[in-house]
Amino acid sequence: MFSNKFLSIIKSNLVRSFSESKCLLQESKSNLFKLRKTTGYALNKCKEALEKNHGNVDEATKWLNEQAQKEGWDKAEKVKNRQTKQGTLVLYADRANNQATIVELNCETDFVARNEKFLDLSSNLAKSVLVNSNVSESRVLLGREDLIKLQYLNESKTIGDQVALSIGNLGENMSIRRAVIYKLKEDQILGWYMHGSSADSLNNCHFGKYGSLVNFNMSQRNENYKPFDLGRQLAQHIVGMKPLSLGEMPKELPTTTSETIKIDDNETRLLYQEFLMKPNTRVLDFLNENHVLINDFVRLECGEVVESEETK
Amino acid sequence: MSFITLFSTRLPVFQQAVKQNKQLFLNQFKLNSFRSLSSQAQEKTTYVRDKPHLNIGTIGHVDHGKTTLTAAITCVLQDMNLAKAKRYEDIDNAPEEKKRGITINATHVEYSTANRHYGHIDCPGHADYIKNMITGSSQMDGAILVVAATDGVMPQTREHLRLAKQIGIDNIVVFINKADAADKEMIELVEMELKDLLKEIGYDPENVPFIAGSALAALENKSPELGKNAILKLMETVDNHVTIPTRDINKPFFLPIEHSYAISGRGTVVTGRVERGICKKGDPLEIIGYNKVVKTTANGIEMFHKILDQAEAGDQLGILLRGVKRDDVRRGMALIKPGSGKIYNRFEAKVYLMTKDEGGREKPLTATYQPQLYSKTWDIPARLKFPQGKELVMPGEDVSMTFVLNKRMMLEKGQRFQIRDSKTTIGSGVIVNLLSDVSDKEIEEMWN
Ligand SMILES: Nc1nc2c(ncn2[C@@H]2O[C@H](COP(=O)(O)OP(=O)(O)O)[C@@H](O)[C@H]2O)c(=O)[nH]1
Ligand SMILES: [Mg+2]
Repeated sequence: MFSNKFLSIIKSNLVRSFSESKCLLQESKSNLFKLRKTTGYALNKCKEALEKNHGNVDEATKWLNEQAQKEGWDKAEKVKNRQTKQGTLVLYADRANNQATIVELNCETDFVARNEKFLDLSSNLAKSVLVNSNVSESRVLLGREDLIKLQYLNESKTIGDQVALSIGNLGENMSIRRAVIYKLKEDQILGWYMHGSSADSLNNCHFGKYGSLVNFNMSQRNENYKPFDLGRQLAQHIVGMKPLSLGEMPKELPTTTSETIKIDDNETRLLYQEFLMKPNTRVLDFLNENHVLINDFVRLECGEVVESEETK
Repeated sequence: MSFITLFSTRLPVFQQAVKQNKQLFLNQFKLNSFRSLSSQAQEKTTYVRDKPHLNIGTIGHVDHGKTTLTAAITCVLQDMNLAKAKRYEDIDNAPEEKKRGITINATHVEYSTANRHYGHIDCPGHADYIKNMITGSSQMDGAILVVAATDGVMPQTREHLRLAKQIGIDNIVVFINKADAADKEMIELVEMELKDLLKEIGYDPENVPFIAGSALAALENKSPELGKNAILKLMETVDNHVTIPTRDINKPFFLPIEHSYAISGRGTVVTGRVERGICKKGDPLEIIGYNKVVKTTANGIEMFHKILDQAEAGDQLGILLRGVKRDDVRRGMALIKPGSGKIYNRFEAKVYLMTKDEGGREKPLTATYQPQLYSKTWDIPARLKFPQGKELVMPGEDVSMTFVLNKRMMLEKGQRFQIRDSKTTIGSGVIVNLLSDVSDKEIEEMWN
């Protein structure tokens, strides 16, 4: 590892300590090494920091950290016109308070979108959004302008500041695009699904390209499904089958199950689509069977073109 | 009378197949005569025309200079008449390309060194890498990892290298870029960081060459030591370090069978295109596939009404097999050098599901889906199993999954296949692992 090499540099240094100038050079090298290792900032920045602080590692670290925010904003300004088509959705559900959010954070390449630092940032953004947004309606959509002004976690900076800092760190343009927040009443049940390439979660958040939230009621206890699993199945259907609207419940309930109902493959009303988990069954029939009533749902796709945004 | 002349009078179908191959045969002929011409020419001049072809690519963190380096390589090599210079802008605007129906964003650049011809890809995205690996159209034989000395190892340096390892790129050459804006000390530190990183990811750092220089200087024709000379040194290192994959002709004999015909009194003829290796008259062979392994011998080889001594990779031909019954052989089986291949019915694959725009499905796949797999000359019904925690696969996604085939077929690691619906191709895959067989009883249960 690094530190071993580092030590051996120092050791060989001691042996050859009769050569003063050499010793100085070695020391500055190991300081640069140390600073780079502990802060992770770009090498030339570390070098500059040491030069400005007369080789003092602690002061250089302080300077670097102060500098990072400013550098971040500079970098953000420099790259602001680069397209951010990749990224991730992040879902944070707070079951105790019956609320959840899905946030979309974009970046330039799908490599960065998979990077742990990027995912860590997005999970903290999702938490900040849910905790600091102070909304009261059951469903709220927030755009970039509103989001960047929100407080970041419980720190004395905004989400915008934090994103800029990450732009400086990760080297790519990034932007927080939108967020949807669900805050449900006590009797309502929250269902969610995030479709990611892995089942991994970080900081209790889930990441992926497609996500959905669904708000529903159950009028009767259900023997077959736990509410959580039911919500997950519905949300999974919504991710997979892309319904555009809920549709209206038919006036009369289906009388017999014997007659086969024709299901249109291109149906975009959720209730009338074929249920993904149960072929030849409509979603509404599945709901009736399980005494479920859907109040509302939302489906997000990372990087999707949204018409209202386009016309803006 | 040769068996094919005899049989072409009786079986017009085969003759037709042979006719279609006439063009192939002619091409082969041209190639042969060209070979002899060039060998004559060689005595007069030392100019060698056919250099081995390899695919390489630039990988590394954003802004570290991958595109600049790609442009610089073509510029420097153009001065030696080995490439056509590409401008930075031309490389940076990756056009969309379709390979096996799958859209891939990557710019292909080509150039030669004194010894080789290279196809070069300038860092596609993660998804494009995976698609490339699955379609196999330009599997990289090696990669140039670009790291800016001003920054050092950055997040994507790590991600790219990890992916390179995953998809089996063994040969890495490091270019420490922006040496014009860094000093010796920084370059040394970057080298140390990289050695640690390489080791962490599973490469042998002692076996990875490092070259420091400046792509920008080379492109702008400034400070030749850091510029042009560094690029030349880099390409010389790539020439020496990236190994040429074994040529198909040097591998064990393999012919995917397209058709088989029984000729009374003489035996069975199989036709197809030789994919690898060579086969001489009298060589022992094996026919494997559809749960069967049958031993045989090549009794005769014929390509378009001509008897050959030897079948070679690339040839489209017919082989007369000794002692093989009509029922022993059918389209989709493999004719191989005995023992060089095995049959399996279960494997793990990396799969890409095409989007609607690419001609694929609109709906996601669930684990109940029952596809038909196509590979080489066979197609077989299959069942699939998703990895733990995965319940659906969306169009446009890549995923690892396990397949079970209805019959045991010759399968190999790295083999590519298509996944088809009743009508259309919905995805492609590449075999990454061969697994132990599923018993016949289980197969029967799965298909009932
Ligand atoms: N000083 C210096 N700058 C370079 C060098 N190579 C590339 N650059 C600059 O680094 C920036 C990013 O280069 P680019 O090739 O687009 O990086 P990519 O994102 O890895 O493809 C551009 O402004 C280049 O001009 C170099 O050798 N020295
Ligand atoms: Mg580039």
